[in-house]
Amino acid sequence: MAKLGIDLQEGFENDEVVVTIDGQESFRHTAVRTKRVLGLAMNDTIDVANGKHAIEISVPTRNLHHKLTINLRDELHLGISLRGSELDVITREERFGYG
Amino acid sequence: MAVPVSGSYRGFLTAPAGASQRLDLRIDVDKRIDEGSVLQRVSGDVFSIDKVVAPGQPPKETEVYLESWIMEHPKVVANGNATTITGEIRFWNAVHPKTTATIRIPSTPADAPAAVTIEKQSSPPATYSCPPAGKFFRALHLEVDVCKSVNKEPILPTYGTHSLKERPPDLTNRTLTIERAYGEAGIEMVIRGDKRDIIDDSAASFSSWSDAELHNAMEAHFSQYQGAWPKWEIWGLLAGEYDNSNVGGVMFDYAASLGGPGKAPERQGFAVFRKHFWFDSLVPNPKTDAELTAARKFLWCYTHESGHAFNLLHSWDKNRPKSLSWMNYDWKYASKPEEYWKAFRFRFDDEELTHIRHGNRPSVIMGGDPWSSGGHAEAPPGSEHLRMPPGAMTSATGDVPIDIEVSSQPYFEFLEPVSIELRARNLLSIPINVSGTLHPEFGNVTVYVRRPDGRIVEYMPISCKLAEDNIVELSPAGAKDSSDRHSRSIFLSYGRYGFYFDEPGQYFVRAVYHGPGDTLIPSNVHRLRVGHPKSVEADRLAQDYFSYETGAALYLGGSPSQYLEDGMNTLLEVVDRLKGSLAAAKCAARIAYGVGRTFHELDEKNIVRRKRGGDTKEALQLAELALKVFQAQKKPRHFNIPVERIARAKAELLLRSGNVTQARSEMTKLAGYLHKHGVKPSVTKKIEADAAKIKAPKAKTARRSRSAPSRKKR
Repeated sequence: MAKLGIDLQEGFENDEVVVTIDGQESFRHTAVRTKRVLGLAMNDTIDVANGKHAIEISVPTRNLHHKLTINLRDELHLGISLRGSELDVITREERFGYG
Repeated sequence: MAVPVSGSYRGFLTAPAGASQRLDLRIDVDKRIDEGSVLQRVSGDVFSIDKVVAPGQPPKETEVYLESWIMEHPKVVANGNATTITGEIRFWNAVHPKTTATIRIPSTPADAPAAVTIEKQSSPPATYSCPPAGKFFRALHLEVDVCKSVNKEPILPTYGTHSLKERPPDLTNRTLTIERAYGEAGIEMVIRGDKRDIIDDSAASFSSWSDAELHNAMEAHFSQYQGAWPKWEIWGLLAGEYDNSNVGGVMFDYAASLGGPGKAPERQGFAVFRKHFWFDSLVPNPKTDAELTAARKFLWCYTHESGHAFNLLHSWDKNRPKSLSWMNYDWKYASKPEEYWKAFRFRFDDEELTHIRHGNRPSVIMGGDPWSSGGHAEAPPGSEHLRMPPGAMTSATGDVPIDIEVSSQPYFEFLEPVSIELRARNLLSIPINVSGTLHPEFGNVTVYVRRPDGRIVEYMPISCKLAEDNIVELSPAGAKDSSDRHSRSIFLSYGRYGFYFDEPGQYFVRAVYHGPGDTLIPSNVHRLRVGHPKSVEADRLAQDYFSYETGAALYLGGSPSQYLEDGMNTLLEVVDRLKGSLAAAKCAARIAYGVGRTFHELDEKNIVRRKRGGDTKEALQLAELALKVFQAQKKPRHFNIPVERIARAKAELLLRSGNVTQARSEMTKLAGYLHKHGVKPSVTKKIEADAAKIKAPKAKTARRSRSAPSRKKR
C-alpha cells in the first residue's frame, strides 16, 4: 500500500472539501479554514494501492472541481489551494513542511 | 569620501518650548552594514515624555508613543562638512498637512548629533537634536528556552552560506546565525544568554504542542512576559513536535485577522519543532549534504518564525510568490525546491526590510498593535480601510501615573444605546488631579471604536464644549473610600458621523486621556458585542431607528423639537414595542429628562418662546420603566451609573412637579441602593447630601417680556 497525503493549504474559509479516488469518496472535511500564519488548513494521509488513480477534488461550498490522474508509488502528496475561483493542486513525492 | 551616516539616532525636542518629546530617527541612505541593503528611506518614531514629580521621590517618567513617519524619497547632499537630507514625510496614520523634514548631520566630530527640523504647513517648525545611537535601525532581545526532550546541540542555528552547492554563484561566503541574519537586515538582535529554561516535556501523556499550550508555556517561562507591552522582546522555544507533525515552526501568538485568538499583546513568541522531519539529520558539526541541508533549514526556520513576530506575512500572501525571501517556502517558490536555494541570498526582500526598519512602529514592535488587527502588516492590498485615525495606536511605557480603564456591560442588545464607563484611578502615593469632565465633548478624552469589519474610527461628539477645567483631586492609590478614582459615563451610540454601533458583532473600544500639561494616557482595549435583532419587530424598527432624527434625539437626551419629532416617535415606539428589554429601558432613560423639561423654540419672528412645558407624567413613566429594568439586571455593576442618572432625573422631575418629599425619598433610596451594590462611599454620601438639600423650588417672579422692552422717557 502507498500513502497519499492530502494537504488543504491556502484560501479556505469555512469550506467543505471532498476528495474521491477512482469514484469512491475517501476524504470529506467541513468548516475548513486556512491558518494564514502557516499557509495550511489541515492535512491527512490515506492508504491507497500503488498504481494509477483518478482523483477528483471538490469544494461544494464554492462549486469548484478539479480532476487529475496520479501514478502512486509508495508516497505522494497533494497540496490543494483555493485561488479566487480556481483550485490549484501541487503534487510532490516529499511531505510538505510548514513554518 | 563621505562618512556613512546611516543608522539610528535618538534625541529630544529643542523647539518649540513647552512640550517634551523624543524622536527615534532612522537614516538609511548609505551602506554601513555588511550584506545590508540600502533602502533610501528615513523614518522616525515620536514619543511624548511626561514627568511626575512627587516631593522626596525621584521623578517618574512616562513615555507615550505618539506616531511614526517615513520619508520615501530623501534628497541627500553630502559635502566635507555635513550631510543634509531633505524630503517630504508621510505619517502612517491619520491625515496630516504636507510635512517636510530637513536633517543635517555634521561630518565631525563622529558623535555629532543630527539636527532635525520638521515643518508642517501653518505650524511653527519642530526641531530635535539627535545624537547617533548605532548602525542598526532597531534592536531587540531574543530569549530562547528548550524542551527537555530536544535539549541537545544545536539549540541555535548556524550555517556557512557556501556549505551547499545550491546557492547563487556570487553569494558572499559567511557564517550566518539568527543574530547575523537580522543584523544584515539592519536589526540588532541580542540573545539573552544568561537565561535558558529547560521545560520538562517528558510526561507520558504529552506528545505534541498546541498553540494554547505554547502560549501557556510562554506566559510561564518568558522572563519579559510580565509588565507593559509593547516592547522589543521575543521568546523562542525549541520544542519537540507540534500537533500537526508537518509543521516545523510556528509563530503561535497571532492576530485575529490571521485566524488567531486576536488578544493583544500578540506576536511575542514562536516555536521551532526539533522532531520535525526537516531536522532528522541535524547535528552540531554538519558535514554531509543531508546534515548541511538540515542546518540550513534550521536557520531558515528560526529566521522565518521570528519574521512573523515582526508582523511579516508569507511572500505569497503579499502577492510576491516569487520573492527570494526568508518569508517564502522553497516548495512554493518553484516546483523544485532546490530552485529557491539556488537563487536565495539569505535575506528579506526590500519591501520586508522597509517594514522591519522603517515601518509604522505599532505594526512592527512585538505586542504593538493594541487592536490585534494585523491588517497593516506590510499594508497588503485591499487594507486601505484599516488605516487608523490619529492616536489610535498610542501606547505608554514607564511609570504611568494614572490608570485609565474603559468598561461596560459585555453585551448590548440590538438598538440598545451604547455607553461606556471611563474610570481614572490614581497609581501614585500622592494625590493627583484629573479632569473631572472626562468626556470627548470637552476634548480631554478621545475614544476609538473598532467596528466588526475591522475599521477603527474615532468617536466624534456632535457638541464641542469649552469650559474651565473641572479638576478632581484623586486621593493616593489604594484609598479605602475609593476616592483614588473618578468615573464618567460616555454615550457613544451616536456622534458627528452617525451611529457607531449600528451593526451586530464584536466591537473594541479604547480611550486616550489628555490630561493637564502633556499628559497622554491610553486605556485598555475593551471588547463588547452588539447582538442581532431578537425579533422581526426589532429588525423592522431599525429602519427608523438608525436615522439622523433618532440619533440626534438620543444624543441630545430627548428633544421636543419639531425637527426631531420623527426620531422621538421612533424612540417611544422602541420603548413601547420592546418593553422590558434593555434597548427599551436605555432609550427611555436617555429621553426621559428631555421629555420632562420645558422647551423653548424660535417663533416666526425669530423670538425664543416657550413651546411647551415638560410632560412630567410621561417623563416619570419613562424613568420608572428604565429604573425597573436596570435594577433587575443580574450584574448590577455596569448599571450603577445609569441607575444614578435616571434616579436623579426622576428626583428632579418630582421636585419640579412639587413632590418634594418624594424627590427626597428617591434620592435617599438611590443612595441606599448604590451603597448596597458597592459604590464608593464618596458617591453615596454626595447623594445623601444632595437629598438633604432638596427644598421646594422658589416661585418664579413675573419676567419682563423681551419682545416689549420698556421705552425710555424722552
